[in-house]
This record gives sequence, structure tokens and C-alpha cells, in this order.
Amino acid sequence: MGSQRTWRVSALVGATALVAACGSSSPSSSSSAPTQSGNITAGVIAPFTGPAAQFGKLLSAPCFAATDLINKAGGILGKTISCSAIDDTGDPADAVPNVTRAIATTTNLDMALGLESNTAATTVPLVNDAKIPIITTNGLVAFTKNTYPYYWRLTPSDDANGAAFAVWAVQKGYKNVAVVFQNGIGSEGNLPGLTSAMPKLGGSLGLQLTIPADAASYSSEVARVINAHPDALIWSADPQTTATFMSEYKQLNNGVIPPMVTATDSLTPDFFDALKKVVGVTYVTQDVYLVGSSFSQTTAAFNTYKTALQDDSRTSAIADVLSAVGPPASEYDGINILALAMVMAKSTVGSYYNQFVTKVISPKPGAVVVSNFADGLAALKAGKQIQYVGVLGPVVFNQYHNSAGQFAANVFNPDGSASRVGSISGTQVLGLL
Amino acid sequence: MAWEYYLVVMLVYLGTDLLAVWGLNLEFGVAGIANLAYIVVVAAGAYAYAVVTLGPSSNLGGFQTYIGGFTLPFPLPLLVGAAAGAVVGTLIGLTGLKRLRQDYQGVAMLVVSLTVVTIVSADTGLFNGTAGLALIPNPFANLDPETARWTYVALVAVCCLIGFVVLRRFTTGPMGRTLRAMRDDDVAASASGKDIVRLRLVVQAVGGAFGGLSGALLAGFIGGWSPSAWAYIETLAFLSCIIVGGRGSDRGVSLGTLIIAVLLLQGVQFLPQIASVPGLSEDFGWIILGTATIAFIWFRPQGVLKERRPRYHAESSSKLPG
Amino acid sequence: MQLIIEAIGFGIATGAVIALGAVGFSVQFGISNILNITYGALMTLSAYIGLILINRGVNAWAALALSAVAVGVVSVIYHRILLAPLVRRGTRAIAMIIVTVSAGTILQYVIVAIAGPSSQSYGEQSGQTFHFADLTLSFGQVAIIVLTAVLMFALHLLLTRTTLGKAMRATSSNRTLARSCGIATSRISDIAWFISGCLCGAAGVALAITTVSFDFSLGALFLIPMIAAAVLGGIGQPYGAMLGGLIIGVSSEVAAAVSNPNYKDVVAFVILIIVLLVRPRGLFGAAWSSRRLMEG
Repeated sequence: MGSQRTWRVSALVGATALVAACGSSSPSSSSSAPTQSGNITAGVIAPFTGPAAQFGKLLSAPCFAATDLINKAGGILGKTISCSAIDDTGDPADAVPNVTRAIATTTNLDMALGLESNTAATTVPLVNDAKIPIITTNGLVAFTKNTYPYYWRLTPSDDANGAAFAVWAVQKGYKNVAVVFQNGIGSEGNLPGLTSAMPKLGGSLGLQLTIPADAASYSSEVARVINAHPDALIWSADPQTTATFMSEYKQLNNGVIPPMVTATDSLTPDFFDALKKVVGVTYVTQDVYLVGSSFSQTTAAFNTYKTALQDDSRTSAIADVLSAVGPPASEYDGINILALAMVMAKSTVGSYYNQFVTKVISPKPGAVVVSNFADGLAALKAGKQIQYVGVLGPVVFNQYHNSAGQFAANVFNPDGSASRVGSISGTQVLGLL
Repeated sequence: MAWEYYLVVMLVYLGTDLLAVWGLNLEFGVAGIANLAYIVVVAAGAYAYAVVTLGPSSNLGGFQTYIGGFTLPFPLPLLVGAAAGAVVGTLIGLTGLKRLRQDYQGVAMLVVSLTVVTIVSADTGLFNGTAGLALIPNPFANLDPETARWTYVALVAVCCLIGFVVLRRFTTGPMGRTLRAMRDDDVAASASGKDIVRLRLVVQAVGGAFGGLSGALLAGFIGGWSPSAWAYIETLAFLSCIIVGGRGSDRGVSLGTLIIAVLLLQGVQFLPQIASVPGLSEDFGWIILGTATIAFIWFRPQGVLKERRPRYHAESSSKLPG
Repeated sequence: MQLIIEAIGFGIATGAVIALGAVGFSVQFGISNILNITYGALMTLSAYIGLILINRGVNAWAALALSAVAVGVVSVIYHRILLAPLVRRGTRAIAMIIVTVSAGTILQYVIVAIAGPSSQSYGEQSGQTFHFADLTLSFGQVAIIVLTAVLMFALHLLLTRTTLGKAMRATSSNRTLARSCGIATSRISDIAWFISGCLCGAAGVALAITTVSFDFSLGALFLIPMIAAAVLGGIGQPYGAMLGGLIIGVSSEVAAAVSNPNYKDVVAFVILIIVLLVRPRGLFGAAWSSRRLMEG
């Protein structure tokens, strides 16, 4: 691929300049693209054990899809890319040795995907210090104004999600809502956004309860909610807790359950199966709205993504369900963006190619809009500029490397996949915070 | 360079584990106090360190809610962490003063541990609830990253050295003998004039200080702390180091920490990953820990390095008259 | 007010499951003087065995019986192979606790390694509900209350009307004396561990049915309220454990009804700690039994 000149390794110079410029795209080191030999690895930092263990396997899938397509198109600078699972255990203290060990022992760990809020506080700084660009989907509000140059987020923070719940509820005419959240990180983050947005939209929070996870019975809490006569439930809890609670609700309220607005985080086979088993498929497919960062399912980008999931035997079983959810899609887009940045930089070394990330997604005159890696690779080879617009749509990073994207509401289909039923303006959401 | 980072992490974790194990060994191994809530003093130190270094919440955007919010200069936060551990340790000690049978004591302590985790997770105003605290500043952030890392290792090493010297004052000499006497037969110890209550509280304060310092050092290094880091079962990991290494022996439990925390728990992670079950090595870790503990209680309850009991030699200068 | 009455009703249902588990735990302690923390993981094991059976089409109640028996057998073997020998060798109480905690941890993580971390369920409840005045209870909840009552009554008959039961009570109160009266204490122990193991197994499946959805941490979550119930009632006293279960169940649900439900579990924890500090022998423990609980 073109002339491969060996430059003197001045990666440190490039890195210092990069860090000093706080990740802004200064092309100062364009004359020193460091090289690396051997194939490269994308590290998937997710919980494979611990209380959130169900997410680890789910979140490996988009990595498989993206890397399959990249390798089919010839790889990055002729190298193949593979995915490596890094268990963050859900415990921020235990995550640190696992991540540092992975960084030490994995060949050419040149990009990372961070997928859990419980440990982001300790793992993101690590990966950043190791100068590995990381696309993270943690919802921690604390990262809304962070200054890590190697950190990039394509999904909204938890408080933005909370405000989106409010927007959707009011849009559907549910003015008086009961908020029931399981005690946990995500919901803790949702609450301020929700409480701030609801009154501004003319709605009211009738009752606000935080419930413990996985209790034997929630009958008393259910009775309190029934007493508040809510139009809808704004809900956030794990599949187990949800099943126990809703099952008791159905029994105590003569078979009637109010509609539920929850996060797209619940768009998982576990949640669908658990809820369906206890309250039946009709409720689950008609009265459960999953709100979150979302995107059109008719674009070419989406079709490529979904087909890739279906074609890989490791992921075909969950392709339908997974493709509609924001965070995994952001992982897929993220890998493509980082891969294209590598191609444009002619280097797979993180400290160098990180500055090209903004260049592959920004709109500019004469840029070719591409929706997948193969097209982007072709355009770059032809010497053109590109703008990657993937599954999540156009990406606009603010100064803190956050891109909120669009919101939408989905409902489950009978087979466990989901369909979009309405969109929610991202601008409106952010304005309500 | 990445190996160097991993080595740094291993050294820091080893150091903080040693401090915690020494503290628990003092309480459990030497003084016979079944403090199965030990992880709480470690958490106390970590949280205390965090709230005296984070500064007011608004400085970081107001995303976290917590008590405190000061910015004390280095090394005061570490002292605050140790002090918090000591205070919390003493409070826990007060609940243990009733002369309950040891296994009852143990269960009560486990429940205390579980209760504190539940309360801290539920009350977000205390330490930001389940989300925990993030962005805890590193005291050496103004140095370049590589120097900062090794400076931290040096800091931990210095703390361990000082800690060990202090520890020996309690585990050897007259104090050590008194504590072991209290452990082996507190009625006799009490009859010979020792104030058992005061001794127990002192031990829990000192042991707590060790745990608090351990937590503070760890929190300052990894930059975050949350309830998932101190589930009540974590005390079992420390106990395992003590039982395997040699209960009551400082060298023994140090060796035990090296064996369990480093060789076994990290070694298991180097086994080839089974692609379909990525979390298996972590599960194995706990299985191995439990098995090692039971195996040692069965085969060699005194641990690898037996506790050295003092031997009293007859004074060679004494000669019988005549 | 109505909420509180409803909460009492729910508390009775929750309390029944806790009582079921607490009684088994209490019997184990009475017979062998061991606080068996592995009990929690054994309940989890039972729930998963029940799941396997139900997924193969076995009827729910038959699955409960089979799982209970399976765990009963495992409990006897566990006691015979690991616990009894350690006790014979003079292993101290604190080491025994550490052993049972470790064994519970091993079993729990073996279950995760094999069955995976996803949550499981036995399926939708039949939907039928019963109304008593202001209380509403589901079919499953009523069935479990009835089951618990039946098992407790059966246990009562066993302990008071049969020779075996009397031998168990004798062994429980003074093992050495019982042996010198000609009672084959180690066989009685085996039987007692089998029976209490069956209760443990039944509690595990009952829990899985009540919570509707569970995972590998099921037993660990409910063990502490059960121990609280056993200790509250008087450790070693089956009837005390039953009453303790009811008290714990009702107070947790009432607390959830009137205050922040997040602290619902804390009620059971605090009760346990207070009982241990203030009156370790519990409500019905005889004064002499507190000898066993004190140091030395």
C-alpha cells in the first residue's frame, strides 16, 4: 500500500505535542508516522463476571461484526484486527490489574472499547495513560466534562437519558408518572435529568421510589405505586428485579399494569425473556417503551452492521435484538472510526493516530460520505477526504470528546428484536438539563 | 513499557494488600478478634481519602454528591485515611465487646459489613451511592507519568516500611505477648490484671489504621472507589492470605499475601482464555481461594510459616548456690 | 393504614419462605453446633436443580420435592466428609465459620461457571389471586405459606411424637449425655442433616418461585434474613425460627411500605445485630442454651 518509508520513531515527540494540545487535531507531527509490526487487537473492556456479567458477552458482538468487515476489506494497513475480551469484573479495584495486564500482554492493543459504568472511573484513566484511544459507552455524568485526550464517547450520559424519558412520557400523554428505579449506577445518573426535565414539560412525578435489587418480594412497594395511580411507570431495573416486581403488580392490580418507559439498556434478551415469562408477550410488545440513544434502521450503514452480525456464527443468534440498541452500535461505529483514523494516519499507534479521529468524521467540502469501513478505505486510498456517517448517524464531538447523538423510543417485537416508534430531539433533551 | 505498568500495579497492590493483611492479622491472628467486617475499615480509608482530596463537588461539574470536599495537601490525606480507618475500626470493635462465641462474632461482623455497604449504596449524599467516587486526584499528577508511577510505588513501599515497624511494636515484645495471652485465654489474661476491653479497642484502632491507610493508598492510585470494591466477601480474601501464610506470624501472612494475591489470583489469569466463557478465570480465582483456605484448615491450620512462640531460656548467669 | 395491612399480608408470605429456611438452619445448628453458612449456596443449588427439572417438564411441586431430597443428600455428605471430621479434630469455631463461608463461595462460583450469570425463571405465575379482607395474595404465595405450615407441622410431629425426634432433641441439647444413653448420635446427626438439608432445598425452590426471577446470588441474598430469623427465635429452636421468620418478613415489608424501600433489607440485618448484642439466646432460647453462645 503505497510507499512504506521507515521513519525514525518519534512517537514520543508526537505524543507530547498531542497531549499538550489536549487532543485537538493539530497536524504538527505529520512527518512522523510510527509503524508497528504484526496484527492488531481491539480490547473489549466489559464485565464478564460479577453482577453485570450478562453484558460482557452481548457487548463483544459488535466488535466481532466490525472486525469481520474490516478484515474482509483487507484489514488496516494490511494487518488483520481481532477482538480480545478484558474482564473488568464490575469492581473498580479488580479492574485495574486486569486492564494493565491486558495492556502488557496483548500484542498491539491499539484500540479499546469501554463498556461499563461501574469501572469506568478507574479504567478510562488507565487506558488514556497508555495512549490507547478508547470508545466508551459508560453513562457516567462525571465524564461529561473530562479532559482525557484518548477518550471518545458516542452515546449520551445518564442524565441526558433521564431527560429523554421525560420527553417521551409527556409526548405520549403520560403526565403523572411514578418513577421506580433500582438502586444502581445508571439509574442514579438518570434521576437528576428526569427530575429536572419533567416539571419543565408540564408533567409531574407522582411517586419516586428506589428499590433494592433482587428482593424476594416487592409487594409493599407495588402497593405504594398502585396507590399513586400513575399514568405510566418510568422504570430502570435489572431483568430479575423487573420480573419479580411486575409479576406482583399484575396480581395486585387485577391484571392491569401501566405502560412502562425504560432505557434501551433493557433491550436485551434477558430482560425480554424475563418480563415476557411473567406478564405475557402482549404487554411486553405493546406497552413497554425503550428510550435511549437510537437511530434509523433503514440506512445502508445499519444494514451493513446487521448483516455482519447475522453472518458471524458467534453473534447471529442475537443479531436482531442487538442491532437496535445504541451502545453496541456505538461500539461498532467507534471501531470503524478508529480504524479509518489509523488508515488516514498511516499508523496503528494510538499516540499518533488519535489526532486523526476528528478528521474522519467531520464534514468538509469535497469529503466523501461513507457508511462503512470498506468504502472509507477505498476513498482514502484514492486520496480523498472522508466523513464517516455510521449507524448512529453524523457524529459531532464537543470539546470534551462527547457526542450525544439522537434519541428515539423503541418497542419490542414478538421475537425479541425491536422497532423504532418515535424520535426524540437531542437538542430538546440537552436543553432540559 | 506496558509490562512496566503492570509491574507497578502489582507492586502497589501487593503493598496495599500487605498493609491490610497485617492489620487484620493483628486483630485476628495475634489478638484473636474475629473481625470479619475488616473490609469496612479499608473502605473507610478510601472514602476519607477521596473526600479530602476531591475538593467541592462543583469544581468537577457537580456530578457527584458527597460529604466533605476539601483539598488537603500531600501527605495529609493519607493520615486522614488511616485515622478514618482507626475510628471506624474502634466503632466496629465496640459492637464486638460482648463475649460471644467466635463464630457468632464472625457472623455478626459479616452482617455489619453487609449493612454498611447497603447504607452507603442507598444514601447517595454520603459518598455518591452506588456510582461511587471518580476523578480522585493522584498526588503526583504534576510529574511525568512514568516518574509518577514509580514515585507511587516508592510511597507505598515507605508506608509499608513504617507500617511494619509500627506493627512489630504490637505483634512482638510485651504487647505481643499480652495480646496472644488475651487470644488464648482472656479470662486468665484478665485475672492477671490486663484491661481486656481497652486492649481490644486499641487493637481494633491500630488494625483499623492499617486498613484505612491501605484503602487510602489504593484509592489514590486507581482514582476511583465504589461499593462494588468492598463487598462483604472481600474480607475472605484477606483471611485466606492469613490462614495460608500462617496466622499470627507477620512473615507468614506476608508470604501468604504473596502466594494468594499475586501468584494464585494473578497467575490464574494467564491461563489461556476459553473463548466461550471469558469470565472463567475470575470465577476460578474465588474457587481457588476458597479451596486453598479449606485445604490449609484441613491439612495445616498453622499455615505455611508457623507463628513463632517466644521461648524462655533459663538465665545462664544463675547458678545454684553451693 | 391500608398499605400497612397489605404489607402485613405480604410479610406473612415472605416470612413463610424465610421461616422455611430458618428452621432448617436452626436444626443444623442444634444438632451439630455449627453455623453452616454454606446453607445459602445450597439453596441456590436447589433452585438450579429445580430449574433443570422444570425445563424438562417435571411438575413444579415434584421438582421441589426432588430438589429438596437432592440437597438433603448433598448436605449429609458435606457434613460427613468435611465438617464432622474438622469438628472431631477440635477445629475452632471461627475456623469452622471460615470453612463454611469458603465452601459456600466455591459452590456459588462453580454454579456460575457452569450455568452462566444470566438470570433464570421458572415461568409465569398462574395468575390466580386470593383476597382476604384487605390482603391480596397470589396463588404461589398462598401455596408456599401452606407448604411451610405443613412442613413445620410435620417437623413438630417428628420431634415430639417419634423416637427419632426425641433422639434428635436429646442429641441437640447434650450430645455426650445422649451418647451415654445409648443413642447412636452420629447416625442421628446424619438423619438430622438430611432433614434440614431437605428443608434447605425446599426453601431454595420456594425462593425461586417467590422471586420469580433469580440468578447465582439467590442463596447469598436470603441467607442473612434467615439467620436473623433463626437467631431471633432462638438458635436451635425450630419453633422460634418459625416465629422469627414471620417477624422478619412482616417488619421488612412494613418498613418498605412506610419508608424508603432501599433500607428494607437493613431491617433484618439490624435485628440480627441487636439480638446478638443484647440477648443472644433469642426469644425462645432457654437460659442454659446461652452457654453455647458465649466464649469458652
